[in-house]
Amino acid sequence: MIILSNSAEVMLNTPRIYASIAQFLAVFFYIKYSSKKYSNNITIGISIISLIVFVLFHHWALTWPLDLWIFGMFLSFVLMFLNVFLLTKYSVLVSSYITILAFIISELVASITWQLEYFLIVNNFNDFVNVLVYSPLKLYDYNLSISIIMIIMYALFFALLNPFEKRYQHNLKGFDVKINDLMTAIVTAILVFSISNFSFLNINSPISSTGAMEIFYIRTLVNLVGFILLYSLREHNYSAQKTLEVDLMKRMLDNQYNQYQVSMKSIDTINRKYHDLKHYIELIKNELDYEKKIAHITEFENSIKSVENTYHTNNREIDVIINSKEESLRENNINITVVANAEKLNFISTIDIVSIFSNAIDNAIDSLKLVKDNNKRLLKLAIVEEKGFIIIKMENYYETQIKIDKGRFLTTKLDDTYHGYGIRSMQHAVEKYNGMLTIDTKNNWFTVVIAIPLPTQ
Amino acid sequence: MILNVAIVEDDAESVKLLKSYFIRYQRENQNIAFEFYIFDDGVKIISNFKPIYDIILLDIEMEITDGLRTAEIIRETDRKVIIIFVTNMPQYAIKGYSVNATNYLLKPLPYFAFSEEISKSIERIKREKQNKNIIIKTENSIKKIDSDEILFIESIKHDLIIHTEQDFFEIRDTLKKYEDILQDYNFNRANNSYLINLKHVKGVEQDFALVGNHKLKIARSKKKQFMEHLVNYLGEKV
Repeated sequence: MIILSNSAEVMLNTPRIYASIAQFLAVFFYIKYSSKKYSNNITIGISIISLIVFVLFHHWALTWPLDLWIFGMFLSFVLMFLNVFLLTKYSVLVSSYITILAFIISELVASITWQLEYFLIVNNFNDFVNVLVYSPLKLYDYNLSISIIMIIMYALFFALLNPFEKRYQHNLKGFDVKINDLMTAIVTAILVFSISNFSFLNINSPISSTGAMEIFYIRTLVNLVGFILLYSLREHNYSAQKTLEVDLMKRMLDNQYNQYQVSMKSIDTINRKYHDLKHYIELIKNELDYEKKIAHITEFENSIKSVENTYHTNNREIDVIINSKEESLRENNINITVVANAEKLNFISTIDIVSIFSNAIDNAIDSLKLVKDNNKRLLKLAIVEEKGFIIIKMENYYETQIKIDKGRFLTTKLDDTYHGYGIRSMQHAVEKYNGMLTIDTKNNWFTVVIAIPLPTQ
Repeated sequence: MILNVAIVEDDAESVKLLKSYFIRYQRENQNIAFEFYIFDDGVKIISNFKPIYDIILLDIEMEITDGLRTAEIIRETDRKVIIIFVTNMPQYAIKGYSVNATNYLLKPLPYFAFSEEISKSIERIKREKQNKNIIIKTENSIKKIDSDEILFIESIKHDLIIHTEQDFFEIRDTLKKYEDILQDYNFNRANNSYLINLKHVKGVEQDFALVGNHKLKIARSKKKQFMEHLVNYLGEKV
């Protein structure tokens, strides 16, 4: 069926060594951004072995009859998959998706490179260009030689791809792949692969040199389309995720703000009542029956005490937040200590104060709930001024392992995504004022330190 | 390590409990020993106060001189000692920032909260005590400098200038070497030519660190790590 002479294959098909190196690089590129199963050294070690396996496999496949060409391609795909699956923590689904991405990218980069190189060889420009396509190994073994232009092209391509990947990985939790993403990828891969290779395999006669460029062109173009398709899908998922996050964060903040306003109102009411009560006490004092009088006074005094604010940080908003959490703290037997002078935090908007302190205290309560021994449920808040910064330090004891995902903290709470947003929401608020938030987890203490520079007068 | 502990408390029961906690702590941590000084009122410790203590536990409500006032007077002579209020009045302890007492213990006091607080205090004392002396050879003498006294080290071509509060010394060496020597002492390489002692950073203005009377440029690429280091350092002290 396939009547391709060996020499034609040599000229028209991308050299196997180009394909194998591209496949290796593409796989390695994605593994670099994955949650790895092993340490960096082991990962790199195994990757080097897999590079050798890739090259040897392709070199061996050259000796196969051309009928097995597609089967060979399939096997090389399986090799890539195994490489991803063995070195990352991902499931079969995610690994397959990554392999398809890597496969299409490797086809694209190899195809563009070889097209360019072929063009340069055929046109025989000048000595400088010849250097680019020249490779010292060529005379020894054509099938194992790589050119300078290949190195340049591959380096350039992956360098260009890097910022995209960084962006996705920074904002999404690794590869967020669902079954329909994989299906789209599979369909794209099959289409791309068959269109690009169909035209190549269906040539019945030894072709002329002018036709070669067209075949290259189709191949590169189809691979490019596949690449753009998959990446626009990723881009779409990325922005959808982003919007979702912003929505969630906003909703959370709205909630906290509402809560804040409710407690603010109730505190106002209490304050008003407090005045009334004082007035009442005056009246009672004039009561003649001594026993009655004393009983009334103690009763009223006690009722006042229970609604009195314990914590005065010199910032009304923070006071309201801490005092509104008091009930929840008491219910959960959490022992809180507060040393705070937040007088100078007035330049921070209410909504940001709510975001920082509500989230900090809520996170701490959630984590302290999981501490079995009530005596260990300790929470400390300190706000001080130091070296032109307001330092906010919040510490809570914890027992359960804390998951750390690419610098983002997710606690043991079941709804871990929600929790991550709490920290991010705080970070977001702090950054508005050029502040900085750091987290430390040593000695079973979860410590958040925030430093916000005081505005200069 | 022997630590001098003062307990200033008018309730004898409470003193007994605190002492028993210290003794238990001592038993659980072999290399720590406490020496006790007991006072039943603030006035007793501040009359004829000597800065010999490592930790002072201070009750807030006391007959003659209350805890906050006592702490204020102690701070006039001793800025380093760790003061921990022990109280059932959080509404007063919240003012602890004014006397640099950012932690307090609530009565009734369980052992766990006590031991965690003491562990943190001991860690801090150890940190404070660990200064490194560096020996430098200048043109005509050999000198010993306490790392605490260094404001920053500046590199100019192949020379280094070590700036201290009062003085500066020129030596022929590399900044990299000093960066390694001082890496556990909160020095930060904010710039190719500066190694800054965070202890002496008075503030940060845009891309400059204020150190002594100097305004040192923080390299743009180093800004983030510098700030992180500074925040961690400040956080440790709170």
